[in-house]
Amino acid sequence: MTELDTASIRVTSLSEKDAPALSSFYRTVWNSGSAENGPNEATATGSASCPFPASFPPPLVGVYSGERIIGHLGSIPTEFWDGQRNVGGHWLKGLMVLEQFRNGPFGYLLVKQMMKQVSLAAVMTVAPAARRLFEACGFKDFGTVPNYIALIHPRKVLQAVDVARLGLASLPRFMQLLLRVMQWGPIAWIAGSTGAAGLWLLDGLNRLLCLGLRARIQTDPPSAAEIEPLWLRLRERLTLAPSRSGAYIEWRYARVHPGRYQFIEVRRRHELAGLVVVRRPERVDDPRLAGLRVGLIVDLIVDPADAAAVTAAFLGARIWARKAGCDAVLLTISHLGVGRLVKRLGFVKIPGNVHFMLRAPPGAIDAPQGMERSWMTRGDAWGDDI
Amino acid sequence: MTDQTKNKLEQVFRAVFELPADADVQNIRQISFRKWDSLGHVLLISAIESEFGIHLELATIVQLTSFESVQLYLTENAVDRSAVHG
Repeated sequence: MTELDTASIRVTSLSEKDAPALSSFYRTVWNSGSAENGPNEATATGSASCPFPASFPPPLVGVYSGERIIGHLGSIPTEFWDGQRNVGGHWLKGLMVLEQFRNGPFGYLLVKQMMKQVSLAAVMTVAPAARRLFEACGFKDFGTVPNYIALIHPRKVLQAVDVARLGLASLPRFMQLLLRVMQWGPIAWIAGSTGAAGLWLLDGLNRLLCLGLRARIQTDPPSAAEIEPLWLRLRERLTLAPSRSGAYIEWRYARVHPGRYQFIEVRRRHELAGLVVVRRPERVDDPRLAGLRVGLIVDLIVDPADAAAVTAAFLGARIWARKAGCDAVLLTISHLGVGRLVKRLGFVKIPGNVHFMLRAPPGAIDAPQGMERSWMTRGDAWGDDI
Repeated sequence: MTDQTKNKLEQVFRAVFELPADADVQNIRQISFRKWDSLGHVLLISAIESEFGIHLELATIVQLTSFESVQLYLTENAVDRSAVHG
């Protein structure tokens, strides 16, 4: 176990001069020496592309022991819509202390150091210890962001589901028992085939709801100018949402990681009525997924009151998922209205474990009490790794 | 360390980690006690500083990783000198 150089421990802001030490830290923690693959990947494109210049460059803080970084917390520029106005802020991301130095003061000190440099801040976090830390530093926990899953190959998913590994232990016991029964070979075949037939019928019925709308899968997003009015329509229905302006979508999903995402455009005649950002499954070695290929709906912009557009968007997502070879597709979204709609489209709600937390200085933002009319998705805080 | 100081330290541990009044805290270690996370560590240090009227430097804070190590530190640094030395 590496000893701490206690005489030279310091918590400090990091800059370009710390790049070698950071690179070493990233290699140790994330198996990557490049900042472009680390949690501050948003800075890789530079200030010229960032649609939130007021929040650029995003602060980065670390703990040094001697010449070595042993802990780190990064941030990503963003802007929040609070129902009336946009407010600049930061996502906090990548809170990490080397394993042998955990459970000491460093996590807390990192958050405190970061709080000296940011105003409005938000985080998407899972670990209870991290949530306690952020709460102690003034963050409000708004609860988990719900997940919904649509089965593309029901039989394969049924046979592979491991309740414990997938964190589904909170499902009612009868559902867990039912899952185990349905995993038995012949029953799985019958259940899977029945499920697939049911979904086919459901898709057919839902297509009737979105006549006049057309969904197309694209490799590039629509122009920022086309996305902007769609975002402005959506945000009028929301009490809290990170910005999804045209400039943001272009930066986030086309510039920082070109080729990683695909886009489902929903058009009513020629006007953009919905946009879904999707990502192909990349990791099949995750033991929790038991070999399943799970596609992600990373982001979406659609007026939740436009049921036809919502329907067309998710039908398009299911078609994409089939073409991409997915066994299932996962949606993470906080807006309850969308959650109700997608259940009619073959999505099943499953337990979420990612908590949205927000720290707003007094008067900075008119934050709501709950998340019902908020718009948080898996793409927020750049959290689209399962 | 006198019994009085030791009892005080035990009460601090029980309060910070929300343990019952009769909980045995002498074997608590950061590495193995689930409730001892980063925030728990900071709260513990803050409570120790407050209860014993001392200020701890960061280099010391990171080394206090068990009840035993805290007890040893308080003894070696003669906290509550009259109590420590009787």
